[in-house]
Amino acid sequence: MSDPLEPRDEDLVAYWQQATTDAGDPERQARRLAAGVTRFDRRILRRNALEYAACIALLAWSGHKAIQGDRHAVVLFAAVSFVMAFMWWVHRGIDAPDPSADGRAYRDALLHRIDRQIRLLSRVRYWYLLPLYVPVVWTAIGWWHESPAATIVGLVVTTLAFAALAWLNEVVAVGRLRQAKADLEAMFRDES
Amino acid sequence: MGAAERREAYETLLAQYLPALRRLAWSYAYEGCDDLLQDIALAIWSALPRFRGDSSERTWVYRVAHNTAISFVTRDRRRTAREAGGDPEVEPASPFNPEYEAIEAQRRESLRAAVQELPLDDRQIVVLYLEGLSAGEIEAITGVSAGAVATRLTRARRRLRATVLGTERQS
Repeated sequence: MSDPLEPRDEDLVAYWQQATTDAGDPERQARRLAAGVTRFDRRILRRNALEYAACIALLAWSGHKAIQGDRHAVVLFAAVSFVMAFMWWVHRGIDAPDPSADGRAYRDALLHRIDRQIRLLSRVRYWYLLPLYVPVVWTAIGWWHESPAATIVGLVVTTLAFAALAWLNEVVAVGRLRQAKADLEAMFRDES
Repeated sequence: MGAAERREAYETLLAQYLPALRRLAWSYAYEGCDDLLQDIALAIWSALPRFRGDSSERTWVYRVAHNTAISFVTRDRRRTAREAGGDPEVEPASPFNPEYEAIEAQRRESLRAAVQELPLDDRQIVVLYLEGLSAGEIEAITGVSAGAVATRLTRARRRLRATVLGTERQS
């Protein structure tokens, strides 16, 4: 027998919908959120423009030097082109999961995306670090006749920096993604 | 959809659903409620041009909100964890019939706390139910079959009622 003091279902609905969450004035909050998206759009636009501009500047500079006969610049141009082309190839046709999909489809898309990111970051040394490391090492070797000590120091520092980048991507970032995947799978235990 | 039209539709949606979206954000992220609400607003803004009216506006808004909340929770679970030992804030009693108002306020707060204690998959369905959505709408939003929704709701409601009543008796 149920307890007469026990709240009914309609009471629960009413309690929930009456709950205040310190929202303040809804209209003012809606205006604040609306202003937030404009700032977000501008920030994304600026960031994308900066990234494109940096890549184009690097390609233009190395391309110009390569035309003048600088062999190091040829290698750098090839390396940057390879990394950019690879990134484009990997990301072509991949959109962020559609948040207006139903919950199950969204979670599947999210898991698929996390898997892809894990695969990509696990191999960052091959498609990102190595292509950029090779021209750096080659350039450093070119300085050997001028200053062997400076060349060795430069090589050690560069190698350590690239190793740190590899560790951050392949260990730290991949670890976080694996944890996120495990969390996501654990959230939904027995859906049917 | 033109820029002005998109902006107008966005502001209308926000104004209409903001209280419900805030409750939803609160149920997923106690500490990061404002951050999650901002993420939901951004997701609605980004997805708006793709809204074709295949589902009702309400279903669409809740889909976007819940999916964004799932991403948010996955991205940073620490922010969504409720502070250990944190008592729910009890609303002040009304000067009119203060005893009754105090009981009602306490029930609202214990319900909020009880919803947050539910496993995430149950919580998602319960929040939609408490917002007044039908089993069919919940199915369309979550992708969970109406039968499974009914089973989970029965289990979760029993738990919520017991928690609300238990909190009341303890105090």
